[in-house]
Amino acid sequence: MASAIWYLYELTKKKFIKKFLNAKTDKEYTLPPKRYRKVPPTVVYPEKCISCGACEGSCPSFAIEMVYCEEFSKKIPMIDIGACISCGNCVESCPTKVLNIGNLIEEIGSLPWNVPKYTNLIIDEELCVNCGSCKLACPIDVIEYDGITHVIDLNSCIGCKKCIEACPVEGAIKTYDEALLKSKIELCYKLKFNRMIKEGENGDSVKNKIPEVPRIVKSLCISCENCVDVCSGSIDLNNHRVVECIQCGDCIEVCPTESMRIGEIPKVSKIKDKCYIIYEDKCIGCRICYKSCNVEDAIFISRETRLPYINPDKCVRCGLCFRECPVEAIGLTDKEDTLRIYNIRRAKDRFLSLIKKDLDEFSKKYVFSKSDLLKFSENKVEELLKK
Amino acid sequence: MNVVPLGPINPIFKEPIRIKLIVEGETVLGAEIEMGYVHRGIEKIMEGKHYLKGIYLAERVCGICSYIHTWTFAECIEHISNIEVPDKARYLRVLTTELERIHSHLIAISVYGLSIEHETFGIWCLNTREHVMDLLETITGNRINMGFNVVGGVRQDINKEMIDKIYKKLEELRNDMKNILEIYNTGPLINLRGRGVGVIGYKEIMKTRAVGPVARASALPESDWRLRHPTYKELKFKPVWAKEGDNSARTLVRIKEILASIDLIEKILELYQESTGAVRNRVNIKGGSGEWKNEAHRGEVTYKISLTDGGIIKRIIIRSPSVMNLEAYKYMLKTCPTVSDAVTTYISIDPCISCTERTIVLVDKKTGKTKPYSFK
Amino acid sequence: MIKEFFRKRSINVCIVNTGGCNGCDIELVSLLASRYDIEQYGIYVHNNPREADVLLVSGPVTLPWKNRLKELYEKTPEPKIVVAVGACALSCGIFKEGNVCGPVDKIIPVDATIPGCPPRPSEIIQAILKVAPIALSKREEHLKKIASEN
Repeated sequence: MASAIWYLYELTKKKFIKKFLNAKTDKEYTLPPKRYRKVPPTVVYPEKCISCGACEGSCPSFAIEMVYCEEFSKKIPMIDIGACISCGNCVESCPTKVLNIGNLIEEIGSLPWNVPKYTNLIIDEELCVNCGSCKLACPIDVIEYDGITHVIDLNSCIGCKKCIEACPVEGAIKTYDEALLKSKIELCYKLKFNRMIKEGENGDSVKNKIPEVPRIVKSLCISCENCVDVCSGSIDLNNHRVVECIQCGDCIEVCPTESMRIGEIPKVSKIKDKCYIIYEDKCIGCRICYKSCNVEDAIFISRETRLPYINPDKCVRCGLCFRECPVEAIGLTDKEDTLRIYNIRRAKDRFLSLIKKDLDEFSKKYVFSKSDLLKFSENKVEELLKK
Repeated sequence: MNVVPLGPINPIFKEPIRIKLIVEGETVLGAEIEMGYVHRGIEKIMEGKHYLKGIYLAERVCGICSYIHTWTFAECIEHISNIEVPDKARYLRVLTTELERIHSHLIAISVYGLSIEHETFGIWCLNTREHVMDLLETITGNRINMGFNVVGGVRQDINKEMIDKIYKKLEELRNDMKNILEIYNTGPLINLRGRGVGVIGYKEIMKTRAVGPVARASALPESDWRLRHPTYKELKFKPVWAKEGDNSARTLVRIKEILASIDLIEKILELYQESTGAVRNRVNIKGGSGEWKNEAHRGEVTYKISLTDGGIIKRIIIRSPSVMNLEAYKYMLKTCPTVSDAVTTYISIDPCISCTERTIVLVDKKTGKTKPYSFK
Repeated sequence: MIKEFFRKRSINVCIVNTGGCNGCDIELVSLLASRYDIEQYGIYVHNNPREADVLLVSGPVTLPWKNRLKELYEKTPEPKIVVAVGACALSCGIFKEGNVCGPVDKIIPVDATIPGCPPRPSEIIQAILKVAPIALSKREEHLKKIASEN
């Protein structure tokens, strides 16, 4: 009824007639424009795919799964049409431009934009041996050497985990994913909330849970401030320093990257049964391997032959010496061969050094210094005078 | 005293909410709002996620004002880690926001028209809105939930064809809006249902902290947060306001704001054509925490974010405008003569339920018990 | 007689937002606009489950909706069709980890799905028009059953 009144009202003013007669829908209105992102994204070039899983990690709605395809004999992305939200994250983060949605790839291209990921990777400064294996393995070149240690660019890493496979040291590249971060953040708020409730009651019982004051590893810190939130004392995150501490151990619990740390962590190699060996018949004694090796006590110089040899217990099998050697005198064999040579050389070294030590001491006994002689003579003279 | 329950599914509501009206005869005495039907816990999902995943979650806080949420989110992160956005991107952001403001206001007006039983007016507004949606789709690639904004700029640039199309459509839109304004001012039924219904004064606005068009219709033009935004300052923006504070004034403010937005877009396009460079910068996210405010279509929206290095969201707090506007609803009910007027008043504040359903939890400090906040 | 004839060809649609972001709802509302004009196909959008033939469910099912959606499904008269609109209704989409109890087909049987976030109105119209003949044939069968019983 209301609209009828309005129709009549407008008809009398004769303004609506023009609109009324022109009312029609053009067909082009129902067609989508060029940029329209129809779900799901299409896998345009499956042969280019390197199975890195960047699209899988970047999807906010978990719509992408890497499925093994027999035609290309590798894993290629499969997209669930029901879960896709046409955000275009996967297209942006693909390093080889495999996926496309709408005409996004023509307009913005893919990398180097920031990449969202499920699993984040970070290098441990204390365990890294600076061998550069990760740098060689990275498909998009985001690992750089900054003078102290190798660093992964957090903004551009795609989280393919190829560096973890290449890394010789166990646990040198740490991972932290969304689930872990979520649980740590939740734990942090729980602890903080409990502390706020119990404020002023009895804080003595939590003291001295851990034996020493924890330190902060600078390269692992992502400044999430979880530790600052739970700390009863104070932590200076700008300088990576613990200022006041009651040794309650809460910060170690809430840190998602194991950056808060007590005690030393040994460098353990992933490969246990094999080791590098220096063939002494080929070696020219240039000592490049000895200079390039970043691990303490891994390569010694023999006293007898003046040639280097490897300690298989300390060597992390990074292969840096193998790559650097100019005459290909270094090869990979069973650990026992290396151990045998090591034992022989070590024993001879010890023997030689022992002999040297003995000789030193022996020579000391027979050589008098001038002052000793003077003293000795004076004493003798005095004794004689007394007599 | 009787209780009339409305919702969660009701022919008049497009979103699930339950309202219990306390009535005596036809007079409405009070209301009780029960919420929680659209609560998905977005803030909780976002914890521990990368910010580029979080921006799509922020987009889906509300489907009607999706772009402004991403804009505020992005600007908050840019504020935290001191990122400079290229000029072109800043202008494109304002352009898209103003287009979205037009579409959101047209929806509000059309639903108001439908709720006062004036279907022609309502459907006409809906049809006018389709032209705006076309523009949004050509610019961003999606009608709603555009995915256009990223931290450090916008995704795609616009080209000459699109600018011509925008100018052409804006001219049509301006004529349409002038028509709608004339009908609104002179139509007998619209003013009969709107004038003097749901009046809220200046003092009650201050008491309930209502924002957006609701506050601006009650003589509070300073509540427009666009006055404090750096890009809008370049445009010499002036807010639209009225002083009556009833249903009619609220809708009138919206119609006039659409006309103001059309002027703004034309200014922006001039500035855009003068500027050069890229539309997106590569960013380096640093950890920290910060706060940013923007004027959404229903009022001020606030984001508080704390981030880690590499851009993982640690904590996020979203304050959306509809919460405050719903508080103001109970003061408006005093001047609602009938139940149908109460519904119209409810529509006229343009409530967005999925915006409203943020987590508000009250914690008892002594016992440690928690309970959700409710409107009573 | 005339009433019955026309009723065979008209469909009542009820939009149920079970916790979505409003995007799908707004696209469904914009079907009313005269560009798409859903009423020309005999489809009437009216949010009343008691007289609906098609339930358009959008959004992930949040916890308070779990029992209410079941009630709603039972309240709808018998030849009924459920269409899940948008990514959230199909698989919870982006809200998988949130305060939700799963996609719509976990709670009530779903007959048709429309993917997209949100789908375009023209896609929704296509889907509803595909579903509509099924709904009509179902209803005719139902009416015949009632007639034979009487």
